[in-house]
Amino acid sequence: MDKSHLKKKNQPNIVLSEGILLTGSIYGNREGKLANLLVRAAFLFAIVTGSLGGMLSAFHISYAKWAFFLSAFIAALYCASLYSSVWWENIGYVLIFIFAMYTGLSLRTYISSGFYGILNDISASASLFFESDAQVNYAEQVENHSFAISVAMCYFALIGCTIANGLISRKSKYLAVSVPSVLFLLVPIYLEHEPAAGYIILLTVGIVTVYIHRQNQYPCHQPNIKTLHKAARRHTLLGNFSGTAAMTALLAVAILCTILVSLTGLFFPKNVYLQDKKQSAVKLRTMDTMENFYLLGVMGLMNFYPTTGGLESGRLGGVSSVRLDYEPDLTLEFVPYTYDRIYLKSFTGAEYLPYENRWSIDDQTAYVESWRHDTADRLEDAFLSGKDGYAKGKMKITNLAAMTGVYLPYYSKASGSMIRPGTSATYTFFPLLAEIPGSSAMPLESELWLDVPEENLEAVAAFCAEAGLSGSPQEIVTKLRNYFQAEFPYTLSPGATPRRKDFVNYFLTDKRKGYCAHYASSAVLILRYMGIPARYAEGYAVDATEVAEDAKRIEGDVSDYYEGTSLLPQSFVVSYDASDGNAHAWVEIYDENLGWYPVEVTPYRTGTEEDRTSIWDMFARLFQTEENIEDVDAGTQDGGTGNAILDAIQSSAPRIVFALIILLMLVPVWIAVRKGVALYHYKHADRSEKLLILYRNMVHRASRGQRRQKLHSVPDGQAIQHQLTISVRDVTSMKNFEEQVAWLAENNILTQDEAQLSYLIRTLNEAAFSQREITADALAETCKIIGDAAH
Amino acid sequence: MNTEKKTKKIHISVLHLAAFLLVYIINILLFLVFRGYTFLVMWIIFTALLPCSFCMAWRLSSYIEGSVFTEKETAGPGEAVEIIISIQNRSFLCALKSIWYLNIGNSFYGTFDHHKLILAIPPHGKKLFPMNVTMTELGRIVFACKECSVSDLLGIFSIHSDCAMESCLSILPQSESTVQASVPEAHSGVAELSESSRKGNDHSEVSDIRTYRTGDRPKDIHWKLSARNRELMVKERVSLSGSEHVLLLNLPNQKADAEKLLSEGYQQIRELLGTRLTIRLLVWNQNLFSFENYSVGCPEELENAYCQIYCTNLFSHSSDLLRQYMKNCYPQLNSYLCMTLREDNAQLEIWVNG
Repeated sequence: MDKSHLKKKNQPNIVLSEGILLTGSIYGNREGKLANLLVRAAFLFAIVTGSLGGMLSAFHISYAKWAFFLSAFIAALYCASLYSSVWWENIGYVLIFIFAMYTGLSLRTYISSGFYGILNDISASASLFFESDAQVNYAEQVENHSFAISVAMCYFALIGCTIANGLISRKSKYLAVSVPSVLFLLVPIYLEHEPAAGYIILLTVGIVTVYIHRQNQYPCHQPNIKTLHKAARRHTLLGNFSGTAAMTALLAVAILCTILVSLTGLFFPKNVYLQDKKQSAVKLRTMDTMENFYLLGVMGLMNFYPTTGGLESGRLGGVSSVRLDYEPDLTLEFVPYTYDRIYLKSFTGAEYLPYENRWSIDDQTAYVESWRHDTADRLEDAFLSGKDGYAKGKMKITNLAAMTGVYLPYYSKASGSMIRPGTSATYTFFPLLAEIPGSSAMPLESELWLDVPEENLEAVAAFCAEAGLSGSPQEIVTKLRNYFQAEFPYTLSPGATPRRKDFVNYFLTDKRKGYCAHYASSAVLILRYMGIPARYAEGYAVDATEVAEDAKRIEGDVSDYYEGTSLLPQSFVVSYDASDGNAHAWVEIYDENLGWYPVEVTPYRTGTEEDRTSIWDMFARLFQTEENIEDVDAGTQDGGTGNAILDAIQSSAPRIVFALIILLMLVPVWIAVRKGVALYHYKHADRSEKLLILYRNMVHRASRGQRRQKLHSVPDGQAIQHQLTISVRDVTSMKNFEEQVAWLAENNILTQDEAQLSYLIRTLNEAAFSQREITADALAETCKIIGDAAH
Repeated sequence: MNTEKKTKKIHISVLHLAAFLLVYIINILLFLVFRGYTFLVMWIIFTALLPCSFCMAWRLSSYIEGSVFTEKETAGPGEAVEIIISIQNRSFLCALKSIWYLNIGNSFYGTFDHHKLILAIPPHGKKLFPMNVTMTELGRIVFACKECSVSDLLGIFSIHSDCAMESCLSILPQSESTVQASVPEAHSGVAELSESSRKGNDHSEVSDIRTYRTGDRPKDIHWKLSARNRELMVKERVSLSGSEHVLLLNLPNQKADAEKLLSEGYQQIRELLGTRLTIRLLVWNQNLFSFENYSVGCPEELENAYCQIYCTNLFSHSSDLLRQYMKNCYPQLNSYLCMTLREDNAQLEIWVNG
């Protein structure tokens, strides 16, 4: 009894009941303090080595593992000891902080070099995974790469254990420690590098152990008197502090995890799985973003200014990911007249400003020239002359949420009609449906239309050589578009252009993927480099198919909107809502006959509909694989079920069968293990227990034997089954040895005379209920009786 | 060996189940998004963990046996006693949490409180949980546990089963040598049992009924009961010999009064025993509707008598009709001693029977 301790703490007595006081320490013994310390150290060690070591093992980074494990173990032991008392916890954390600071400063060269070494190795893997030419590279100060990483890992083990210990705290917060530790593994797993099995076991054992401690409210340390008394006042006596139990639970989890990881590795080898696995839709969709993150860090995920569909009057490179809201920006009322795309131009870029990453129209000559409407005049003349192949159209544009500006259809003269949000304007336009008769277009005055900035010359020249651009302007445009289509995939998440990098150069040399602004800007410089006057244009583009699908037919006289030749067989007035999904950038090139006309160089976008899916569709897509998505998109679902899990089950059916066979083969092993355990029990039992074990086995065997015997002897199956169930149940439910022995005698299992049976009952009672051990003679005698019965 | 199968009930903790499902679903989502081998393995582990954990708890609940014992059977008020709860586990399985529903109280006064004892169960061994308790009231202190539950490692399932753990401790009044007590002077020849011829000189009374043993007198056979039980039953008689002083304990039904009477009465009876008197102690038992009687010739016998008295609730011991009952049950007595509470003090009085 620990009365002095109680007095010291000045704890009041606990009233267990009226007149019954709980005095002194509830704990009479301090069982398992060391074991508990080891358990806590073990799961700290497992979590830290499992996550940090697992990450490095996934990337096959070489370092002195023994040093890492040793330092992790020491740090884990130290951290585990911190919870032995409150004062030590406070002082201990201060000490470890001082130690970490001191070692961090002393070894900063090695630690930073090792850290950079790890980052460089990860970066190399990431570059390979993203198939990116760009690679983040940090300068390592220490030549010996492995040594520096080893030092860094030892240091990280110390820091990791301390942080993990703090996160777990006294309350075994498993989520707090699971999330960061799993996050470490997300990096390699995302990059399709898997940690070694040992690390998976370590991490899982660590997390599960913390979890079970939490769920069982198992204290990480022996509760102090105050806690115990507080609980006791709530009619709860805490005695759940057992180092042996905690150690056994840890071992049980470790054994289970090891067995399962081994079996999984046996039947689903990691290499085979990695070869066969299919990417999830979510991962495919986020790869661009992750690549941006990898290359540019957090900044690569940010949009630096608001845009409409990624476009903002010639500003470039500040948009990491185009987020479309598909809300109507403009409402167009017009009569469809062509199968081609209808462009509504709002911005013209004349001069490209490298590194400022924007298109400018500051040059006065260029500005005037950009809004010149000589082509519109010539088309109007042709229409008024009444020739076939010419037309005059009117388009009423209502600005719902777009920026204030002009939205000119090709070709219009109303360059001054600005439309503010909430207002409308009607543009008269003369579409180009046939060759323009008569004189050629007005010659160009500004030299900007062929200007390629010096900073971009090298990248543009290299690209032209790479793409093999040559021939007439039409041929060049076609080749360029095809090359973009083949080599420069379209994405709405290209990532922002890094600081101090030029937008076009970065697109052409490093990133090689983007959306319309990237293609249009680059194409303008490329075409200029090839001697073709070109300029950058922004606005909205509406495809004929979109009009056919989404436009609403409205009441109105067609002749009020359209006169002349139409390429469509029927004419009617429609209203179409153009959203930010229609925002577009394109190229205008100059032709001596036609003047300026729009050219499309942006590759076709795939998976447009995916962006419109709801969160539930996204969830459903989780279960689809890359192939399924392609099948669905292509409308061919003849391969597979469309469900990755079912497909996986189908493809792994032989393995499952094989696994079942192995499991069946494990049955005898299981039986042997059980027998071994039973034998162990028997060997370590005292004489009384030995007798009881023998007797129990005999009863079980006899029950089973009796059952078999009756099954053989009586033909009526159902009746026998019923009868035997009762028999077996009877013997196991009998409350005392007298009844059991009587039953055994009745069924001729025990054939001895009454005296021997009485002796057996007496000895069994003595063995079971007496504090004294039975004598060796009694054991021998009763064993003889039981042995006879067993035979 | 206890071959009786335990009745088990499974309780599911919804909160813990939800927590597990949360972890499980996060794992599945991580697997579906990343398609990583690590998450596949973790998925398998978490899937297997649930049944393994349940089976472990289910099996373990069959292998554990609990007992409670005290270092001594009697104690005095204020004396510290160690109560030890021992949990024996005969398997290699373990549990980090088991709850033992304790019922602790004084059966004499009928005051009980429920407590939950939370214990971790180590594999193949004993877990001892000692409690230092001090009793401040007289009576029979009972430490009992009728139910226990073993939680699985994940904390989702708890297997409830019955158990029979009980230990009793009698709290006896402390003897003080300063108290002087004497039989009232008038007791001589009055308080002693007066022989009477009304019952044929057989002044014994039936104290118990038991099965027949060789040597029992045929006249003691309880024929009616024997016929009913189809087994010979005999009446066990206690003789009220003339050398014993009959002392009736007139226990009040108020706890504080009873406490006082028992304490002071204990002292006085011990003093009487010191004068080499033999006392036949009588206490009314409402349940039996007769008097419990104890032959007390020495302090040890007095302690035993008190222990027996404590076995029955105080309220069953008190009655306002004691005189009447005495007259009916012991008509052969002319008078007897009675320990009763007068003006907040225990007084030894002579009561005339009738």
